[in-house]
Amino acid sequence: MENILIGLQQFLNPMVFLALMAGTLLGLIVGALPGLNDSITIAVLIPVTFGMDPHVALSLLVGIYCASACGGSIPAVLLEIPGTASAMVTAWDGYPMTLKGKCKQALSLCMTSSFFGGITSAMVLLFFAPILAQWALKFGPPEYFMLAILGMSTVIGMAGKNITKNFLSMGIGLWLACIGMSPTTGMARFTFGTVSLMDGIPLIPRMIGLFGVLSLLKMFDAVGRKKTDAAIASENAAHCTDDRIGLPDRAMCKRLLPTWLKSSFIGNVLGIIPGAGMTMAIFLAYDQAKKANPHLEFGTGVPEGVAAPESANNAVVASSMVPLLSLGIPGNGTSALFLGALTIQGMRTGPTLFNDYPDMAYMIIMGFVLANLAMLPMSLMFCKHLAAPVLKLNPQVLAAGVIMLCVTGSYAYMNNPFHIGVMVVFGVIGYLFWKFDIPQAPLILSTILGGMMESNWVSSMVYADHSPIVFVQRPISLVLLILSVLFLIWPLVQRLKKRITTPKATMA
Amino acid sequence: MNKSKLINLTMPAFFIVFFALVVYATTSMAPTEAVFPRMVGVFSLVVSCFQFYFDIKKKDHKDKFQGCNVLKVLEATAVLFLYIFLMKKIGYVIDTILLSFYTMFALGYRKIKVAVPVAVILTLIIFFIFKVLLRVSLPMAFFDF
Repeated sequence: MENILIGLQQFLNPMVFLALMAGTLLGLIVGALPGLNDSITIAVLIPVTFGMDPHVALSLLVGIYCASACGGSIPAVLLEIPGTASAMVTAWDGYPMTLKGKCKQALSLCMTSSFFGGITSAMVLLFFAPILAQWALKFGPPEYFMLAILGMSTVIGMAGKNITKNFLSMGIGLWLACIGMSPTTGMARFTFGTVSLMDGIPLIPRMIGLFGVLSLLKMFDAVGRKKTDAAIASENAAHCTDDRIGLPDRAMCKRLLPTWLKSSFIGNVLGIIPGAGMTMAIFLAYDQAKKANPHLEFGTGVPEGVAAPESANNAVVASSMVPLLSLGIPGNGTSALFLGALTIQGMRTGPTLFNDYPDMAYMIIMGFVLANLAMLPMSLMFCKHLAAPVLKLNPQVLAAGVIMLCVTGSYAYMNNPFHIGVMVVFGVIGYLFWKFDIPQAPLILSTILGGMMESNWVSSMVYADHSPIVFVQRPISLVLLILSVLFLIWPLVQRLKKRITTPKATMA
Repeated sequence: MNKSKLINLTMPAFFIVFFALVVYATTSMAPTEAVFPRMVGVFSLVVSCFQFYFDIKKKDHKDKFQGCNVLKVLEATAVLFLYIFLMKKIGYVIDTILLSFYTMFALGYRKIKVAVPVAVILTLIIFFIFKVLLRVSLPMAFFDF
């Protein structure tokens, strides 16, 4: 309790408090801009914070980190372009809600779910940081490999009628993950002599292509034929007057509570494990929400499809700081930047941080709590003043804005026009996938997890002298394997049940 | 064989050839670096064959490209590649104004008196956010500062 008060005391300094609020607002803005995310903004701002008071500097960064995942959902819902990679799953149900004229409800759900996930992870950071960090350290290569397998098994959970196409999409994604330098020898693979491909295919332009450019190509595809999605969204928004941006009503909160709890749990667990990442959390949370609500048609604009990834991605935010603050191990890229910021300020992270600088350690923790509390009203206001004007725009004018954001965002990722090319290619891939009814989700997930799978497979084989028994010998790995098998079997069992019960029902 | 079935079969047929080439490409790699791509290649090759078999057995095929403006999609893709090519030559601002004007015009917006200022204003807003506020180094060509 005393430590919590020490942390809170720092925010009595108006500059520290203002920095936290400014960071939260900045996080919402950069999150909403495709191509920019928390890591890029924090990386840009670290040199700026060098001369600042450490408390002011860290508050600013905490605010940005907290709010950017939330801001990324705004363009995902309004334009089907995820502002950040963590919002890609939100677009699956968020944008269909916009098409139904429920964009304000979708945005309200995004913000509330983000708040729920964010505040739970801030609490986890506050009360369980040291205990959980020790547990997370038990993860070795076999466990990470099995974690990636668990992520892949959710692909089957998301499978529609055609499982083969899901596997095919997964195979293409895994091959794309092989592009670049080999993790074992450092030799180039499938780069076709292109230097820009040595680091693999970058995530941000890939996502912008698969979502933003695809939505634009769909508009071109429909020229002279039918109403485009953007035109439908614009018309529905104009006719929809009862929809509002604000907190969801009691009935909706009651309906979404299980999804929020489950997704926040998934986000917190995966956030604590270094390297597991936000992407896996959003996919797992979405898959679990889908399994828990078999009566709902996910992908057509259901509230649970928005609530699950949004609470999961914000739950990863503060929990990814657990290994950093407790052990000095960054949980992901952004928390690695925090490590840099703390080092610049002359501090060493790890268990000694809490003894040597309790004011700073607890200020960061309380900063996450306060930033989440501030984020909810701030993000709702932000959406209120942004959503309405965007939807009133003419669809063709909106399309021009979308393509400008796409090309600029892809370029800004690394100041390289090659990445605009990557974006276009992935837009075309997305278009062909759409035409041939190949699902995109397995492609996206496998391109992200492919690298992690390969490097941990190689390390596990080296560690176990090329014996795959290692995956069942270690308890955590075994549990993950069992979970993966259950995830794989569950939809097949459900289908079998359906097949058995349907003829009976027909006969009756 | 009808046209729709033929179009649908091109997809798995393409992937069979593609993944066969991937597996072949792994033969020239060092054994340690070839393991994972080979596993992926073989797995995907098998899945592609299954897909080909299912598509051959399937009876009702729909023409996925019927009634679609594929030419317009190809045109837009070509324009985007042209945008990349011109970016360093004429700079971000002019290039993006042209791209946004093309997008509006190609999608059927014919009010040129509105489209031109909208293209300029939207480009300048995005330019201001990225170049001035976020200090992204956009290629400027003639207007560098």
